[in-house]
Amino acid sequence: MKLINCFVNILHSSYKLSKMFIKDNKKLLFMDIFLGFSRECKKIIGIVLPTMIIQAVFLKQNFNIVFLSIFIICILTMLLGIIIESIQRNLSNYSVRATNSLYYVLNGKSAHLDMKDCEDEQLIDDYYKAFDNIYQFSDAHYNIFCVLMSKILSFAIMSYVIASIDLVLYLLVLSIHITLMLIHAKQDRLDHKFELKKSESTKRLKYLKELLYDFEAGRETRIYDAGDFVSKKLFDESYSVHKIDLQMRKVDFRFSILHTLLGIVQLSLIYIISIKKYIIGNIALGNFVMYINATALISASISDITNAISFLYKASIVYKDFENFLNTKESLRESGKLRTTFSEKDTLIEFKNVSFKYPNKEEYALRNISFKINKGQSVSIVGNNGAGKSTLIKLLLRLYDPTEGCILYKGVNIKEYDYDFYQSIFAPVFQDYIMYAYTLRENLIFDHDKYEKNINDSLSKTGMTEKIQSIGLDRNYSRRFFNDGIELSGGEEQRIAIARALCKNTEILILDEPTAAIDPLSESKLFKEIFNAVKEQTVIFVSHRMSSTRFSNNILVFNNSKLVESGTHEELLKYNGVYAAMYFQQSSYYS
Amino acid sequence: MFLKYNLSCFYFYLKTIWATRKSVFFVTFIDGALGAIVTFIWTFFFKYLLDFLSLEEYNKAILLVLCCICFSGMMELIRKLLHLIRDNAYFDINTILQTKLSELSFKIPYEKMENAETIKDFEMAHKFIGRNYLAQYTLGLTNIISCIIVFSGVGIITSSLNWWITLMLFSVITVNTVCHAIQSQHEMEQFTEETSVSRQLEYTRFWLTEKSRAKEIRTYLLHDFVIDKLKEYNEKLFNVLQNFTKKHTKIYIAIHLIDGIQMLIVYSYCAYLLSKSIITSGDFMLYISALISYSLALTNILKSFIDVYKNNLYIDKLKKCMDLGEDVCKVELFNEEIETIEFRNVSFCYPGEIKKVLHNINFTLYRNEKLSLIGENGAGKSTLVKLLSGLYTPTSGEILVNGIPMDTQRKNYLPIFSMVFQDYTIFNFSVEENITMGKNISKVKSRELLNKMGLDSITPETYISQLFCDKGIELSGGENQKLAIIRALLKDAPILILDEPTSALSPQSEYNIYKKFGELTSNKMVIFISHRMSSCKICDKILLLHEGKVEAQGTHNQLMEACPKYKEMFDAQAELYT
Repeated sequence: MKLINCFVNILHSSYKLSKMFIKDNKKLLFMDIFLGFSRECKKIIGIVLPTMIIQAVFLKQNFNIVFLSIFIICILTMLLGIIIESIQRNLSNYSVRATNSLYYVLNGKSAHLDMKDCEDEQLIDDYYKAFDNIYQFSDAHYNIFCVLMSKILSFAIMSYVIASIDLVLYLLVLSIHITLMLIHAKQDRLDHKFELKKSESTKRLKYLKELLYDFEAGRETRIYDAGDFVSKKLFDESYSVHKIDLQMRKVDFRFSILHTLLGIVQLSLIYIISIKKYIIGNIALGNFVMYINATALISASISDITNAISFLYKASIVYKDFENFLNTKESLRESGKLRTTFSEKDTLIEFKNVSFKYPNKEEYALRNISFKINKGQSVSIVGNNGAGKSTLIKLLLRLYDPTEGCILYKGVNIKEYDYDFYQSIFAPVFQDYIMYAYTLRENLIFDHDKYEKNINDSLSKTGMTEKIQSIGLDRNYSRRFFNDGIELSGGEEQRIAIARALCKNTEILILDEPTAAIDPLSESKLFKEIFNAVKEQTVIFVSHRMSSTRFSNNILVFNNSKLVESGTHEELLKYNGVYAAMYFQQSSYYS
Repeated sequence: MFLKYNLSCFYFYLKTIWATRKSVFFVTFIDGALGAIVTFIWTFFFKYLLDFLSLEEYNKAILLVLCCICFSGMMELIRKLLHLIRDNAYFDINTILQTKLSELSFKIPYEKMENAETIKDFEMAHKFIGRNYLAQYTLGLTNIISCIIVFSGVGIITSSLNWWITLMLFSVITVNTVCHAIQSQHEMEQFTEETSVSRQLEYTRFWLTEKSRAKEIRTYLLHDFVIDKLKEYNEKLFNVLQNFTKKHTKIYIAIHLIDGIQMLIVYSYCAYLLSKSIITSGDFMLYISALISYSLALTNILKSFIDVYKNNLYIDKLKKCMDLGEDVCKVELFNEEIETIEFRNVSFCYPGEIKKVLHNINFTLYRNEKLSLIGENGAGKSTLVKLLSGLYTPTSGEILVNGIPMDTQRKNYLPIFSMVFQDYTIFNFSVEENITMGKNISKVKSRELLNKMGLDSITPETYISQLFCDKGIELSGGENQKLAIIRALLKDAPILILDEPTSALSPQSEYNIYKKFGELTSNKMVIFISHRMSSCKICDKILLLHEGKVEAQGTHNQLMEACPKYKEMFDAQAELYT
């Protein structure tokens, strides 16, 4: 039952994999098949040729005829050799390309996953597995179309030849191979168990190795003299990987004793039976060699088939992870279809009794939040660490859906809108913005050429015009790949991140602690630029610095997952609550 | 030059193995010899079998068959056992190398580690270990050894039987070798070019999967951008590969032509001899299998040479990394009481850049003084701190510690510094490990600091993230930053450097920390970098940097009067609060 299940899995994954590989590269299919057959032909010629010569000489044929046939066969072998080599080389190139193109699907999918899945450690693990293991089935098409097809054919032909001469020998060889196949399957299953055992340590090892190239971590370990400490951890992890490896090798060795013994039995049988046949006079001396070689070829093609199946079995296990990943539901993206807005009323965004709990968490991150943001307003969201500010932004950007209540954009529930359309309303600057090891232009506008015209304007607003002009937009960021790559200071990077948002030029600008690394003069200039110049834009500003709040039309104060106060700066000071306390604490430094 | 390079790599390889596991040599040699013996047996097997059969000595024939089969089966098993021993030895070697490498990457000068070349070297060195190329390298060498034995052995024996055949085989082989050599040259070129493109492809492939990027990818609609990038690099890689394949075409056609001619000559000559009854059919089979053994051995040798060369590229990098370590050992730790720190005409520019980041910096700090370093973005604040801590060395000028010039070549100054970086790193280890960084520090002391920083609820045994412990937790940005500050305070170094230490803290926590600050750092020299001008007021001295130069220095009150630039900066921020 288990075996049948296994077999069905292999068939399923092989079918899917071949479809995946062949879809964009029809050439691969032809190359595989052609390569397999040419190889078999060449092998058969290699076996037949010497026998043929011995045979011909014994029959006292004219030497010219013998020579002619040798000549023809040599030419044939040569041609086949050239064809095989050329296909092989091209095939490997095409195969690399096809394998890499699987990442289009994988990476594309991971860009479309729901945010909650992206933040789920367990799921992330599974995804990493799918990514890491792709090379394990990069040769699937080759095994299916090249190895299996041609080997099965040559096996069939040879079986016919041998079985017609000696059925007993044939059955003996076959039964030995079936035993070997079963042993192989057992071994594969054991190996897989070992791999699973190893995966935990492998993951840790990967993290620890990455630390070695991480500049920031490198600085930290230097200052705190923790090199040996981290190295020790690395040593421990790799040692536990090794222990499992060693166990695996030992098991493999035990299996290989079995393999070798069976191999000895098989070969002895073949030879002894053939010699017996020769003694009886059933076969001539020339045929004797061919006969033995043909049996050897059968046995070789069976073990090739076994290997290919074992490969496909492993691929089928890996493929399951891959398929699971691709089938992950994109519930956020699938919900809405709306690509236009209707109402042109003043209320742009409205939160109605929104509450939110992170998946698998007990306590609410936000409770019963209601407020409105009007067009052209600038809104500040303030509160202590952990008050729920960042969560609010995540809900607004629809990275998560609220647990209760709803959010409206222009009077329509945001779930009704097409996901990408809704995203195009916002330009956020996150606290943990990312710089990419591509050109500066790509860091600003990515591939959205339509924003090209906004570059100059946003650079000047963020005060980066001079700097970027001196560097050039086409210079690469980071020295990781390019020795002429450029490194920027923390403040400069943050300004690039803001400029990136300004380039997107959308209805709503979201700034999440955007000026932590920016010096006071640039900060105050930036605030003025952002709050004064962008009149049509709605700005949402998240901060625990009160300094920016005075520019805002509306301030939302969060405390313990609740919205506790709202109003303008003056109103809130007069109210003398949480906001006023925070404000006075900070301003005391400057008095 | 080429030879010297390869030999030096080979020498390094021998030295490394010799120093760690000598048994590898023994195992490798036996393995190669056994491989050769098996090849011999099968080359001569058919000759004798056919001879016995045609002489009708059947018992001998069967004995021969059984002996050969059992013997080669045994050999196979012994070789597998040897491989097990060898693999085990390799693992030990790899672990030792890896640990050494990781220690090195934390010990070599920081500026070297920031260099793209060095990183690439380290990456390749780690790849070499991670993929167990060392074993492949030995495999290549084993192959070469056994092929050479086969080559000469089969050559001698066949020449004793028939001289001409041997000569002919050798001449064909010489031509063949030349072609193969040209081909290997191409393959080596291809390998080098291929690696550089695939590194970029790998970066693009992996950055998307990082959790921290998920938000930007969604809100900036980067789906297509990523896929286009992947496509771009994939096509680039494919073109590189195809170009080389085209280059190869002529050569492999030539190789196959020669192979064909060789086959034609040998077969026809042998058939001729056979038909004239000069040789037996056993001899005929011997020549044919000798031919096959020859060309297999030849291809194997050349393949092994290519492999060895490819691995030499990696070994070279490993060697380079290990060489970096030689200077490191000599550096002794700086271990004195700190009285003064003085910058004297210090200038600095990053390696490979022309523009100076710092010009002629002069200032002095005394025991227990608190300095606030301010200036615009890119003014050189962070660079100055890196120079001070010895992560970089000045391009010109001197930094004096206790009146003696700092010399990072002879002394390591890191023990006297504690730092909180703007982009601090919190490791996925336990909280305790994160704050003590593996040092033996009393639990009472760390608990006390955790409480003082307002992290009462966190137990030191908790793990950050679930990588090393299933019950691990994630901390917020503010909590992480507090851990970074605690880490710096626990080190208890005489000089504390804080680079934007409170950027992620809420006003309440910031206020609390400022309040306790004097008490916590009373016996330390402190350098404060912050854009919050508020920190200036708790410092004894302020240094204002502008475009890499010292614009002004003094106390808060002095600068408010004397320096308009400072006043402007302070007011710009204070204005927001009035």
